[in-house]
Amino acid sequence: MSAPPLYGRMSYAYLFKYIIIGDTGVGKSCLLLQFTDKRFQPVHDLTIGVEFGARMVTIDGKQIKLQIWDTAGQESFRSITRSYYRGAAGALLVYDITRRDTFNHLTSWLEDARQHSNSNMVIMLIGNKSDLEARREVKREEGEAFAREHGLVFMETSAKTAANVEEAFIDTAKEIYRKIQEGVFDINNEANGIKLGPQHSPSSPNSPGGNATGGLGGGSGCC
Amino acid sequence: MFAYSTSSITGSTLSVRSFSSDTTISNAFFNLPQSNFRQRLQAKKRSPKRVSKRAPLRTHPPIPRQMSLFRNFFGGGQQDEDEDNGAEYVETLVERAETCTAPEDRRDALRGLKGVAKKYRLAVGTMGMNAFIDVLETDRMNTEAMTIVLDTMAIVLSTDDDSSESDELGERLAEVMIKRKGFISSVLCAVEQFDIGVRRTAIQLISNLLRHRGTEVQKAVMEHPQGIAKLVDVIHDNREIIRNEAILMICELSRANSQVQQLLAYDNIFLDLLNIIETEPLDSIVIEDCMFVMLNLLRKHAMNQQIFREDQFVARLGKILHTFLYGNEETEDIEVTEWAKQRTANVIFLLQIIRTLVSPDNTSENTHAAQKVLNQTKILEELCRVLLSEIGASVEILTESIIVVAEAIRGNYTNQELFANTVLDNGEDVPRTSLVVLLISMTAEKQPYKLRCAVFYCFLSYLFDNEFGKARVIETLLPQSHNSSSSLTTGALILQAISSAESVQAWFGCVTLMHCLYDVDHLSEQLLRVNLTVVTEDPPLTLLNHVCQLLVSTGNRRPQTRAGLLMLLGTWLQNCPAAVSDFMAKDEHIQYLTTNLVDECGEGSESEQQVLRGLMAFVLLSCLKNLQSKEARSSMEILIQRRVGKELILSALEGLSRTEQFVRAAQKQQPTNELFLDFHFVKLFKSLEGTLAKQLKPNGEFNGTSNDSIIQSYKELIKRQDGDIAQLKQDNKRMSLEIEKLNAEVQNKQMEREVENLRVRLEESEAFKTQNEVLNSQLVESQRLTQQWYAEAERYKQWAQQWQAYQLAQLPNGVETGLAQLQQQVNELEQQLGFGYQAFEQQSQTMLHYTSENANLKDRLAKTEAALAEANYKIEQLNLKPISNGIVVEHEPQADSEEFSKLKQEQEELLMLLADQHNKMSAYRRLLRNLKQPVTDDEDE
Repeated sequence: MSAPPLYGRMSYAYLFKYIIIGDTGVGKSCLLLQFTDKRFQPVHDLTIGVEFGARMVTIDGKQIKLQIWDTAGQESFRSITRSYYRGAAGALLVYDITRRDTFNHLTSWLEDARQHSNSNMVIMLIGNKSDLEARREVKREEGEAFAREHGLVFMETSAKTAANVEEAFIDTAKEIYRKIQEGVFDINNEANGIKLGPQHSPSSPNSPGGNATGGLGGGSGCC
Repeated sequence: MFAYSTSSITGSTLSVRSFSSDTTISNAFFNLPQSNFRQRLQAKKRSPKRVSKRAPLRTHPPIPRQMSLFRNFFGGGQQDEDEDNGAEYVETLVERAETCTAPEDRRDALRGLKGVAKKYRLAVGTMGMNAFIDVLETDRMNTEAMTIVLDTMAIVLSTDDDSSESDELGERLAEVMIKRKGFISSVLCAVEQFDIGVRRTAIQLISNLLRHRGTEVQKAVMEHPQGIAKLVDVIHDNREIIRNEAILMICELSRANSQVQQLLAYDNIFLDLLNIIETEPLDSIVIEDCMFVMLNLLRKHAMNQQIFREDQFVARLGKILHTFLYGNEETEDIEVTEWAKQRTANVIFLLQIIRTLVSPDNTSENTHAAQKVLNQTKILEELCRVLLSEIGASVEILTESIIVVAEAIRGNYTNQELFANTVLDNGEDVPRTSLVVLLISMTAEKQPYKLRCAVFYCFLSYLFDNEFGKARVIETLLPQSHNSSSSLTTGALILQAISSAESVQAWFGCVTLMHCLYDVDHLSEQLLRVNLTVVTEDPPLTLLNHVCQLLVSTGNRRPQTRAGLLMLLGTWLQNCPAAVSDFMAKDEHIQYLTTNLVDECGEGSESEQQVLRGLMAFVLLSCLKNLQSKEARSSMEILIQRRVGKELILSALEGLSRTEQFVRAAQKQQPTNELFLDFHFVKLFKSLEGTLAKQLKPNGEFNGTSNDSIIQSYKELIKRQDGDIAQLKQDNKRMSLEIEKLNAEVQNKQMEREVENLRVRLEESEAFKTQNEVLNSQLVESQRLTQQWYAEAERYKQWAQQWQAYQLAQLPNGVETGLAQLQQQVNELEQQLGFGYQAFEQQSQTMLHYTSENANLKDRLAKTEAALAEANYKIEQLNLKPISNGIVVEHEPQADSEEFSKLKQEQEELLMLLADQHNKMSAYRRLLRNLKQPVTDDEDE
């Protein structure tokens, strides 16, 4: 009993909510799967609405839980996914480096995100599928330029080879953490997508007094 | 068709409006799925009770005077006429509300509408709609009007009539409202307003809309990127009325739509609700509402369950449960007697939430994870204690707790062990384990039936997938474990139950024992070793024989007991040849089966008899299947053929799966109220049915297992169709996506065009604006200049005044001097004017004089000329007589011409004088004009 309960190990200092947005088929769900399960699934069902995954990371010696909401990229789900912007602390805006159109749509995604999210949301621009160098349509420099122009952090990743996947999620978390340290985020407002972790694992409730006479066993019980 | 449509036929203007809405809405209304009704009905039944409990009663303003006049006039009896007049009255009010320009008038009209909204729902709802929407959209800042309108709309949608199955009118009015473009947005905006009236009525309106048209409202709210978030935000309102109203609204919002449910969870509603629950008193109905929402969000929603666990809310549930069970520290001493009814209801809701997390309906992953969490958070431990200790909980709570424990331990070895190791130490001789306690309750006839069923389920859940647990129960029956005879063992209790004269108990016992044998074949053989310790008789009676004897002794009575015994036997004999030979050792056993299989007049309903025949066929054929030697099998086959007939036994076997009991048992793991067949036995039966039947039809292809193969083919068909359906669904989804996409594109294009237009217009207006600005700045500049000038002029004026004053001050008595001077000047001028006049007068007289003179002269001239002409004539005559008058003639013309030239000269002088006179006159006139004297036209002459 004196040993910390197993549950205690799950406690965290902060919980950050992320959303992953971008056109359909750019690999949002695969990025999430690679990050949470460390595996790649080449054929993935279309995401319907919104799904979520979670993982614990350590930043600055603090346990931080990332709760990541993976949205459907299709236009028809836009109205649903938009509802998730407000409550998120971070967003991964993903495009596919082998599909120019997904890069061209970034502006509209960004507008959407800026319009519906809280102003402090950290947005990371991700050019995914960097393993498909041969089919590249969008130059790395273009991504960098777009990110610079709009004040985003930029990274090229591959959900397949796992290149930069960890970094993408963790760097975003670092940025959010930095903003918390600077006092930019109001951590008491959960609508910002940040939650303080429970300080301690829940203590077990006290045992009832010894005056029990047996609800079932006593025969003359309460029933 | 509808009661109120009759009134619309007689009404003059109303009939047109309401009739048209009638036709459109009714169609949609009839297409509603039945289940929605039930849900909503439930909702409605819940709500009035609680509204009256919490929110202060809504007080409507007294019905306006005109109305009471109407009522008096018609005596209130004639409903139709009253309705008509009501409609007319409503129409007047609506007209006023729509046309009045004075805000007070309009407000009064709206207030009047609100007053009659309850009475004339249709009229107010349909005719007033435009006015209401207008206020909602254009008069947002007018909180008073907004409150009245929102309240009116909410009233129109609600009914006091609890008896009616559904509120058709409300449904249709709600539909009309939702169809208005921008309506939901307006209401959402109203919810955002801080004003208590506006916010409260807006929330009530949304609740009512949700009750009638849940799906559509949910969809409309989802269309707003922050719609759900806005509604969740209202829960944070620290005005309790608003908060409670908001919770009720969320209750409605959280139904059925998994996307809305997920979004609610995303917006941290669990946290908010738990916070509220923790601050409310234990017997608060608000807690029930909160838990109702949580239950909605968690039931069969894998993702929300995951969030709930990951956010560690389960632990908080544990704390809340503890508080509920043992009270707060400060209330501990009071809390001894019975709980308040609401507190019990709250605990049951709480237990249901916990149960939802571990329900067998979830995916096994989810259930397993939740079971783990229940263990870690000590909730399971707590619940086990509830089972065993006296805490003043009602039987409902106890029953629910047992079911929660059942599902919390089901198939989870750790939890099963935890449960089994919980001990009730009540100070008596030996502590009892929880399993023993369960079985005691199960076998106690005086315990409520529901509780016994729950206990039974709990015991089965302990055995589920728990080989060790099963073995331990069997072990207690084996001879060597009988060292402590005084203590009650699980095995002994089960045997006691099986032998009981109470059918239910016997059935419980049989099925419990049967569950011990599932999937663990070696235990069937172990069980054969069990002997009943009967002191008096010499040959020890084996358990199998005991069970068979019980069966034989019941004859064709006690169907429930027989069903239990037959299921137990049927299971025991599977994969256990030793058991089969033991069973067949006594002829009477087989004989019992073969005779009763053809017996048509046993106890019990026809369906129950069919079940029993099926079970007997199952046992017989199981014997046949598990016989070792070929000879024995063929003799057994002959025996069956002779005594029963192959056809009959096969039809009995087939018949079992067609019974009501079979179908019902196959549906749910948790035993239903009617205990006859068991879920797991049904599964076993299904898996063996084909094999058993095949024994009597060796040429399976030719002769049969027809049933089996047909089922198989049907299964395949179903599978194929399932595939097709899935495919079509996918296609459908894709198509609708595409259509939506295309629609969106079309819309986008339109929008783009519109945007383009707007942009152009914007540019134009911007140009105007810049122009305007330039002009403005110029205007400002010139104004500035003008002002400067003004200032300068002012300054000069001041200077001039100063100068004048100075000048005047220089003179003695300055003003009078100045005045005198001026007076003098005036006098002088007047004098001059007088002179001018005199001169003018003189002139005109002179002129007159001259004119007359001139006339005289002319006259004279004419005379002279005449005289001349006469003279000339005389001269000529004289010339004609030159001799006589010669001298005279010559002389006379000379004198005449002298005179003539003199006259001529005179005349010329006169003319000159006249011209001179004229010039002078002109000069005077000019002078007069200069002196500003009026000069008339006749003076011109």
